[in-house]
Amino acid sequence: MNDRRKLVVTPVPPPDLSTLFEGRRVHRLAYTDHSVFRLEMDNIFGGTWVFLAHESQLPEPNDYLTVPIGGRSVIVTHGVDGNYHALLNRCMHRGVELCTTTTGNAKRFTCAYHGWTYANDGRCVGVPFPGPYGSDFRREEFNLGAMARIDVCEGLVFGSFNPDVLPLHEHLGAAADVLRAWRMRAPGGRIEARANARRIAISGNWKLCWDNAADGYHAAFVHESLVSMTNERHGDGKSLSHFDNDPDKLPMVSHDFGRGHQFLDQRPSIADDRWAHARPVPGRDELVAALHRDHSAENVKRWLDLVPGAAMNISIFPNLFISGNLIATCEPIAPGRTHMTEYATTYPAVPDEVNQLRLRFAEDFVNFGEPDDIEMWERTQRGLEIGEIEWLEVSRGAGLPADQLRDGNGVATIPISWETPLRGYLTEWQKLLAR
Amino acid sequence: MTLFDELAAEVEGFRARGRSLGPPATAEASQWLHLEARLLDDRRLLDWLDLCTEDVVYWIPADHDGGDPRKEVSVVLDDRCRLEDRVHWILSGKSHAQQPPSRTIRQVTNIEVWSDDEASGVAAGDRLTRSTQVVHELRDAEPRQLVAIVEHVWRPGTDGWRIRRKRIHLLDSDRHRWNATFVI
Repeated sequence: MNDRRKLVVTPVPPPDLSTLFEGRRVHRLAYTDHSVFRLEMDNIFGGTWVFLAHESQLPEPNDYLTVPIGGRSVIVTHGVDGNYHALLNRCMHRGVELCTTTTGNAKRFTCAYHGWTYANDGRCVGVPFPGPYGSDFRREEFNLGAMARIDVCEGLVFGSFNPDVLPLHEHLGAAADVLRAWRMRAPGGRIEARANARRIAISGNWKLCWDNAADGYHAAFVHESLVSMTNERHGDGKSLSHFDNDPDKLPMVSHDFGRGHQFLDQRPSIADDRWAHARPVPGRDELVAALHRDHSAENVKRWLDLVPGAAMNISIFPNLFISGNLIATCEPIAPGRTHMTEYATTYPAVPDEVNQLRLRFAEDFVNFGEPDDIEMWERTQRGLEIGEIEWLEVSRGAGLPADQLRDGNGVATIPISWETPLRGYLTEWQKLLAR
Repeated sequence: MTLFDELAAEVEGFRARGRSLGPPATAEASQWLHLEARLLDDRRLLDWLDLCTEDVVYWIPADHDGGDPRKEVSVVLDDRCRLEDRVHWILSGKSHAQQPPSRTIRQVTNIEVWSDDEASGVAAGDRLTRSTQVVHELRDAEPRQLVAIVEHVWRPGTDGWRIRRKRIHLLDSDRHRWNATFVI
């Protein structure tokens, strides 16, 4: 029989972080190792700006939203003073999760266990029967943990636990200009993200979303199912057919903004006549007819061209992805497990019919394109469990002139197939891990 | 009324149902539900499409309360055209997410059936069914289960019943769910 008292655990030393990314290759442990993952949650999700919510999700004073940020539950609140707060969802008394609903309107949060109560700016405003804590008990020492910084860019609310981060606009750099262009595509610059979300659980590391986000190399291979189905059923020239050539000779380009942010700009490869080149969506005939009944042909055409996505894939490190008609976040759960939440967007300044078509369009790529992406990420995760082969090659385009060249804003402009954006986010990743 | 107005009204209509019809009607409905389950589990998706009307809607809301397609994105909302896209995509062999293809076995229970009436918002002569379904899927890992309340609107015709609506209320409709790409 085993003597349980004599069992000895030999600790495995954590990998040397400075050697996990070597510029042209990245080590598999970056995707599979628990100690790396722990450090990512502390130093990246706890150390830089992270995306929290879209302003339209909490428009009224006292509105709140709970979101997972690198393993922590965070309550994002809209205070009566108009400021946003990002509060750690944990009672300061004995650690109980305070708020169990994902969205709502509340001035205060009261712990179900012993009734400790907090205002929605995080102040501790009530401790029942405090006498036995002693005369020197100060409830203001028990305010909720909160993010040190909150700021908004183009309707997107970001927060950081790190008080020493760069100002948000500096952190975003030239990416802020692209976010502005994305917002201004909406009439009046008004976007809402209150139309529910698609939620996907991925058996893969969160960075696999990043490896894919500005990668134009994979599209013709991974999405052949979508392109060929569309061509066979609806004729050529729709959907992702603009990827169907040598990816280094296409008009569209990718950008590496620095600090991990990336942009795959499909607009140069897409015809102005967006609606005519979109895959057909349910409800189109009657909704288009209804628009024509009430509005001029010119307006209808302008609005219908807003139905397909912006063709701007903007990725803000570490957890915001804008693509199609969606605002998506990645939520790391474990080294090999990630949740993605994709909020559908609508434009409040266009007729309802246009938004209904936008919602149907938001369901399209995620049903016929994204599943094949996710399959690739999950196969990658399984491949990376093999210990004998250590490295992933990310050197495509490395050292070529466009890879090296940065404009006055620090932005690289490169063919969509190059791995420059991967190297860009991995450089930021490594810098933050070593913080 | 647009299609999406109708779909929203039907969600309400199903909620207001009282007692279902008796055993002969339930037995007839069960026959069609079991046939559908068999076609899907045998991957006879073209035959399954033949069981659907031209105005079919295959809908998986992303909201626990049933959802309003005018205001919310869905997990799936297919009209006939997009449903044919889906079947084509699955059967093409080109989708990596269906390589290997999903094997499924579904259990259909708690079958109730009603005929249409004023309150339901569906056309005269239609039959409504509500069933509880557990769909077991196997691809590359361990078997996984989807659990759902499934509401059908059937149109009886000279050569049998046809599916006009199939609405799938997943137990985890508003939660993160794996990359399930088969027809539920």
